[in-house]
Amino acid sequence: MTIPEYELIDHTGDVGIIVRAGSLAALYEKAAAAMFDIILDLETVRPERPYEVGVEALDREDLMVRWLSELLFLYEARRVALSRFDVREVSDSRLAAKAWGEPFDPGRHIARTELKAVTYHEMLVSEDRSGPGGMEGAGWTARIIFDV
Amino acid sequence: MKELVDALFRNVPTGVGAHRRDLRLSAPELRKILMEGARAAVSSGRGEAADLDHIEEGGTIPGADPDLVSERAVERGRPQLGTLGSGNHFLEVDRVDEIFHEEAARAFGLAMGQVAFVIHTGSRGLGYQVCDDFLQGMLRAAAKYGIDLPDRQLCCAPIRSEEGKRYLAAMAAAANFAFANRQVIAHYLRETLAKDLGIPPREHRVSTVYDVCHNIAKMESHEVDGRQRRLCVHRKGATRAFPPGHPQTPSAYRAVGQPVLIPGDMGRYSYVLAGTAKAYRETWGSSCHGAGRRLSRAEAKRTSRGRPIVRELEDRGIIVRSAGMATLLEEVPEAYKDVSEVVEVVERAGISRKVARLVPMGVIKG
Repeated sequence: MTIPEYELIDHTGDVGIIVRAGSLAALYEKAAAAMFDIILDLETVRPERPYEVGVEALDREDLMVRWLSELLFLYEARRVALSRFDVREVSDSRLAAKAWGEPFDPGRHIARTELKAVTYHEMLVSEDRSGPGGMEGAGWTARIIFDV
Repeated sequence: MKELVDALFRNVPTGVGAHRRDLRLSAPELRKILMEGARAAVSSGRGEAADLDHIEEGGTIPGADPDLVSERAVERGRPQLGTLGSGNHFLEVDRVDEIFHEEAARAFGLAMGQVAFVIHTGSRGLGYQVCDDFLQGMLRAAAKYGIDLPDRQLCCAPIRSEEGKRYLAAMAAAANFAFANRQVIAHYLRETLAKDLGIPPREHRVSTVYDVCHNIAKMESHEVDGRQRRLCVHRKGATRAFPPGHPQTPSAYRAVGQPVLIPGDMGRYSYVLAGTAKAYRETWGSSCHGAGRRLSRAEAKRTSRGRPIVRELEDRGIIVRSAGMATLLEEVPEAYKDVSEVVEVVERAGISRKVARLVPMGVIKG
């Protein structure tokens, strides 16, 4: 498992991240991986089983909240540790994906931070014409604040 | 102390997916908890009836509707009754090391050198999920009522609207789950003293000083510009601090005011204060609820990475047990403001008065 690249934002009391990617699908995948990197040690998770995830939303930002909330629910309620994400279809209001992981095993998985929720606070999903980090080509940026 | 902290760490589940095998809630039991809160915990044999008087609202927020708590919230929260969680949640073993107000301390049952426990946790995944579920509806409601939102997380509906009423009834159910959760943890604590340390109840005599919310909205009557008005008071990061003589201040504390609990960081102090008449007038009976963070979690982690936090605290006489290292790094004492200074401000502002100071001897973190 490669650890996803993301930036932690200093936010008193909460935890925030900034994620950049070349496509919208990759942006949602990276955001999910970054969230799980905060939650647990990704290297301890084997992406053995696929979990189908589908969400609908009002727009891209809402889609990010619902997608990540769905994954957080899988982890918190169904006790599934996830580490790989394949977004197969994404539009401004729908997302279909396969998330890969395995049932949480307290003997093997190392939990880090418990997240209460994915918030709408300062949520941003935007297209960056100049590309991520000033690189050539279009890119996408997301900012997400988690309630801890 | 080590023996006690280790036993508490074993008996009070902390961390992901941790729960007690001997506590499996049936659907009707959970429903009762959502309706009745701490009272349901007591009637199931996990709690003390005498404690109920010393819980905000008697441990039951009225008007809770379990049918408004989604299946998802139930699924997420059901295994979590009697668990601490992580983040800033904790269970602390403290010692009373200073008394500021003799009469109030006596009324609260606090004396110099006495051992006190502080439990900080809430409605767990059930409450987080209730919030998540209602945010979706509130986004629609804000549009419906023409409320312009500077930030979507602030989505809302008028209190008297159908959406508003439904939310308050669901929130009450979540708050009741939180009261029951703390009552069950207090029960595990008593059990630990009796079973693991061999101190029977007649010797340990552990009883609740007070149990109070720090994120809840309630309908209350207060004076505004010389007129009594019915208000929805939302105390977020704040806690109720009712004055001496108020009918909702427990009878045992009626002369001195409601106990106000202000936890600090795990290395310094926690405080017990009492509500005042001035707080009732000026802040509608509210006070602050904690020291507050000085460093963000990310910053705290960055600056304390690699530090032997457990040993550092042990050198200061504080035994710490945690489910994960990450939490300890985020929760290092320096990440918080000095609670003594915060409490000083609260007292000078007149919104609570100092009663006792507690120093930690043992800390359990999620």
